[in-house]
Amino acid sequence: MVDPRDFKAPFIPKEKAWAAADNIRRKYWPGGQVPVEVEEILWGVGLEIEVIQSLKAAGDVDALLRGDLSGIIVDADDYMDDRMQNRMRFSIAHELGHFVLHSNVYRGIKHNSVEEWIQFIQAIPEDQYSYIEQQAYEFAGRLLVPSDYLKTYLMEAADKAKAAGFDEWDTTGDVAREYMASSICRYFGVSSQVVEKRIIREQLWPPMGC
Amino acid sequence: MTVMMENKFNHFSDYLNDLRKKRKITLREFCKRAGADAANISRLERGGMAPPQSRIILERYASVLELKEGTDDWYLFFDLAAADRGMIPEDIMSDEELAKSLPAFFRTLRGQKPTSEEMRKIADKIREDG
Repeated sequence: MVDPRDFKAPFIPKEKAWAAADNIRRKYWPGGQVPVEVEEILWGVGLEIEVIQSLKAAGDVDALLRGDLSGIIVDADDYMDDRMQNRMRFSIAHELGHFVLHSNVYRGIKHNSVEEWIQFIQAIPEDQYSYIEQQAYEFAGRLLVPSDYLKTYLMEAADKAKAAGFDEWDTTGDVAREYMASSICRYFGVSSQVVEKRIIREQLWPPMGC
Repeated sequence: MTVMMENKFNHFSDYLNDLRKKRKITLREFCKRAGADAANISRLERGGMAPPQSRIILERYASVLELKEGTDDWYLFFDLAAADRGMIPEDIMSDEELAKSLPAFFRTLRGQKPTSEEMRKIADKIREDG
């Protein structure tokens, strides 16, 4: 049994997480269109969605991957709430990221009781815990916001802005980027923050030719 | 008279889950169209709950799954539901079983590791409903 204080997150650079997301999408969402229906991808990899009442109220979480890798548990109210669909899609994709990137880590951790589980999680160093989470975020963002679609929609939005006379890409950096992200996020069924992060992480700002 | 045809499904739960996925209907979409409770359908598909008694409710499910009345699939759907109606869901998970299925990594919505108390509550929820 791993001593949680010695727990080390695997080293997974963002490019590797992106490649894993691209592979899974290609394999289980072969049409490739956006928004990506992440639940259909779960069927492909053999994961079930499990809906339970009041998960969020119990632990301030909206989705969890089971430790035995059998399914992803989601909060019933959020799962059915139209206003929460973007967030839920991302949360499920994030848990799928743990399944794809961290299955070996999960298999190496076993607990014999709830109290042992609590002690283990609480003792994992915060920085290592954070790396694991970041890797799953990278995976989820890339899965739901495919690079080629992002470039296309971003260029379309930039062309429209240019046609309308906008040319202050450098001086209005963050504001213009936020505006662009909010104008194209609906295509992907995710929040504007997710799209903006993809734009930054994939170094697509300012848009080509602007 | 209905005849149970040869099939690979022993339980209503498996058949419902399989039909839904074949039709590419997400659990959410199924529940919206059938007017069903997502937590109950999820539990039903995992074999943790007996199929509904009501013929009207089952017909609504069959309709969402695009089953045509009088077809083999239709009869199988209703026969499996009848067969599993007396099913007794499994006992509540033991602490050891539960511990194996608890999540390894998760962030709270506020972006931090959950507290011990939150973890106990999550474990209780999963034991009760999962």
